[in-house]
Parts: sequence; C-alpha cells; structure tokens
Amino acid sequence: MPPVAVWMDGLLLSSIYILIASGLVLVFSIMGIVNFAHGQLYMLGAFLIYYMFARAGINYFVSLIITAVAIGLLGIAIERGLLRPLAPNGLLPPVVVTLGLIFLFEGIATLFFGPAKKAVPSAVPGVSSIGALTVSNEKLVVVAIAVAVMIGLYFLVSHTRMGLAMRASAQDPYTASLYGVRRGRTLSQTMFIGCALAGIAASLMAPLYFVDPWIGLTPLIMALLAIVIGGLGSVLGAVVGGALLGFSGTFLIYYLGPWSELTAFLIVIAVLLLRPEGIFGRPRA
Amino acid sequence: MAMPILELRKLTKRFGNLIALREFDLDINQGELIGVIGPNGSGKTTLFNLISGYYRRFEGEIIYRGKRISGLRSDQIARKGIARVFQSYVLYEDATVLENITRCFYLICKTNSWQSFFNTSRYCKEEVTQRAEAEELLQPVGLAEFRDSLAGKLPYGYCRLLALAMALATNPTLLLLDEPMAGISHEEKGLVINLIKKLGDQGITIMLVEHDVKAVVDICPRLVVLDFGRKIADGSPEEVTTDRKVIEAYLGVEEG
Repeated sequence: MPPVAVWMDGLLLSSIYILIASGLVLVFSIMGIVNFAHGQLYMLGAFLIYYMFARAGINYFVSLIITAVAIGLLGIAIERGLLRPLAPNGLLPPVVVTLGLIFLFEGIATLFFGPAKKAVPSAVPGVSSIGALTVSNEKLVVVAIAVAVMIGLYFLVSHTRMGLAMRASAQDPYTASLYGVRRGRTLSQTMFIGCALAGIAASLMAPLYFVDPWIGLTPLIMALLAIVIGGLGSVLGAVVGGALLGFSGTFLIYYLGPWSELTAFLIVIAVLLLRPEGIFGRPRA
Repeated sequence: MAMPILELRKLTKRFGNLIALREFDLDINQGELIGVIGPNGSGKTTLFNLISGYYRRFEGEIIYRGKRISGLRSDQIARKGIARVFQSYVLYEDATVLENITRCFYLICKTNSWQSFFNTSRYCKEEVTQRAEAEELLQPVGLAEFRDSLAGKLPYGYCRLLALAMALATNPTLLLLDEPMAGISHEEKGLVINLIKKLGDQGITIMLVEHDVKAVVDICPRLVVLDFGRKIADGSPEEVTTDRKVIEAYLGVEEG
C-alpha cells in the first residue's frame, strides 16, 4: 500500500487530468475535432493567473474566475474566427489550424512573457491535518474545486437545456436543428465551457508547479491518452481515464521513479488491445 | 380564396453541373396532404432539404404563411412550425421514449438555461405540464405502452413512430415526412399510414416523400411527380397514375 500522501497526490494529478480531458472531449464530441491547442490554452491560463494573482495581487479566486472566462472567450474566438469558417472543407483543415495555434501561442507567450520559469505563490497557505495525515490546504482546495467543477459540468450537460442541445447536436447537428437547436450557439457554448475548464485547471495547477510557455504539452498528451483510454466522445470516460493516469502516474513515480512516464503509454496500449473503443466508448461503424 | 401555407417559386438547386431541382413551383394549401413521388434521384429529398433549410444556397423563393423563409437557418425554420421527420433518427438513445418527447418540448420551450439551471418554479411547472402533454402525444402515435422503454432499444418501425411523435412535440403546422414507410414491416406500415391520416384529419398540412407509390396513392388526395428535378405531374392520384409522362418516367420510354 502506498502512503496516504501518495494517494493525495494521485487525487490531485487526477483532478487536473480530468479537468483538461473533459474539456477536450466535450469539444471533440460536438465539433468532431480534437483541439490540439487545448494545452496551450491551459498554458495561457497559467500566465493569466501568474500576472493577476502573483503580480497584480488580485484575489486568487477572483483571478481564477477571470482566467476561466478569459480562456473560454478565447476558445469562442478560435471557434468562430478560425474553425467555423473552415468547417465546410472537412475535418482536416480545422485540426491543422489547432496544431498551428500550438506554435502561435507558444511563440506569443515566449515573446511577451519570456522563456523563464515563473513561480506562483501558494494561494491558500498552511496545512490541515485529517487524522494522522497532514495535507497542504492548497492541495485540498485544488481537489475540492475540481470536484465541484466536475459536478457542475455533469449537471450542466445532463440537466439543462443547454446540455440537452449539446447532446442532441453531438448526435446529429442537422436533426438537432430540426428541433430548434442553434448549431452555432451550441458550438460557442461548448467551446466556452471546454476551454474554461482548461483555464480552471491552469489556475489550480499554477501555484503547485512553475509556469513557462511550454507547460501545455504534457497536459495535452495526458488528456489525449485519458480520452483514448476512456473512449472518445464520453465525458465519463475522460473522468475514468484521467483518474487512471493520475493515480498510476503518482504510484509509479513512488515505486519506479522516472520509469513511470512509460506507464501511461503502456496503459493505453493495454486498453486499446483489450477494448479498442475505450472503456466507455461505443464501437464505431 | 385562402392563401397557400407554403409557396415554392422557381426552386433550382445545382450541385456543380448537376441540376437536382429545376424551376420547381408548388402551392400547398392549409390542411392539404400532398404526396411527392418520383424515381430515385429525381430531387425529392433535395426539395425537402431546401424547405427545411439544410441547404441555404439555391435559386428561387420559399414563402411560408406569406413570409419568405428561404435563406433562414434550419433551426429558425423549425421554430416557425415546419417539422421534418427523418427516416429514422432517435436523438437520445439512452433516454426513455417519454423523455425523448419531453426533451423536444424542452429544446423549443421558453425557459432559458439559467432558469432551468436553478430549477425555478416556472421551469418545474412547465416540466409537469410537459410530461402530461408528452403522454398525450404517445397515445395517438401508438407508443403509449413503450413510454418507459429505452429509445435505443425500440424496434425499427417504432423508432419511426417516435420520430413522428417528436416532430409533433414541436407543434408543427407543416410536417415534412421523408420516406416514413421505408424499410419497415407490413404491420408497422399500417400503423404509420393510419397515423398520417389521423394527423391530416387534425388539420396539419403534410408533405410526404415516399417510394411506396401504393401507400402514397392510398393516403394522399394530391400527388406531385418529380423526374430529373422537374415537376412532371400534379393532380389527383387517378390523373397522375394514368399520366403518360409519369408512366414513362417510371417504366422508361418504349423505343421504336
């Protein structure tokens, strides 16, 4: 049995993977494309938190909300300005554009924010003891916010009209429109929510790690692996996949050290061999 | 003289060099039940795609209740009361038959996401009336006994009935039925035919595209025949089925 602290770290890492992966999978299920710049939106979110919270001294939670909204709006701008005009030409052009955005955003960040690693101070200093366990408040807050956000997302998708419209649109955009669903609005709402999740994840992670223009890559890869494990198109799958990667990652760092990076890929290979459609995915015709 | 509910003026739709629909004119009166038939590729589905807003670029005009609707988005057209029923499409496979219908109300209804998010009293009230209304819709469609079955598990023909009930949930004045009889069993066909007749009696204007000419002749007092994107006949089933051009279109011209 790994020590409780390792479980806590697993929970922490899982929360972040889950937030990023669900945003990515939400956008994928409605737009049909993977937004490869999702990790760079996360990176821009981390810089926003750095400048607002660490430099300007704005309250952490206010900074978090502003970051989420700002990254969400950036997502809408990308969808409306770049992806939607290209949509009639098939799925490939918008996907290539999101690949290009990786370099654009990393370049912009390097140019304006500089390549140096930046540290964000702890948002909620201090430690709490739960029984024999001592945990930093920071980590507790991260997990609590991540859980609350995911419950909110579940409610939004399953119990609101917006969520119904999204799910209908994911099934078939044109048929959904016959029942009055506005495709364009649903796309914008989805992109906003998906990217805002990346902004939230960035805000939660920034005080625990450092911030530089290249921090977007690892979360993107882990999120992609998580949604492949969970099944493309399923938010529940993203949650399970994220948790699997988060926990296995921390446990194996504890036991194996640097070899742990390999495990994520081994898990993906194992899942794909046993269940090619992913844990919660449906086989596609 | 009553104004037609739908006026189609010189509708032309080109796909590159192919002209799928050519200067198509048609007036449909309120309450009419009109069948559109024609060989494969004659433009029937293109016609529906134009009316329902699937294609927004074409020549000609579509006037619905005196207002031009050509160029509007498909969701705007749906909200004006034109419902299109696909061959078979269940939007929410993981939900029950009844839920599929209440969700259709939900998509069209007035409460916005914020209200439903916070479960306002208005939203709750709507939900109760919607459930009752949905149950009422299932009765005539013949799905009452399936109300709690998962929509994804329904037999094929019943999916068709569900699609019809879902279209009715949007409270349409004009119903576009796209091959409702294709690929279903004989008994299921009987159910669908009865339902269409019943809806016609209720005063809903219905346009029916169908391959099964016998069924269309049975249901529709007026038929329009398309061939290579042109209207070649328009009249009662007797007139149309004896029309020389129609027979040629279906059977081919005898050479020599």
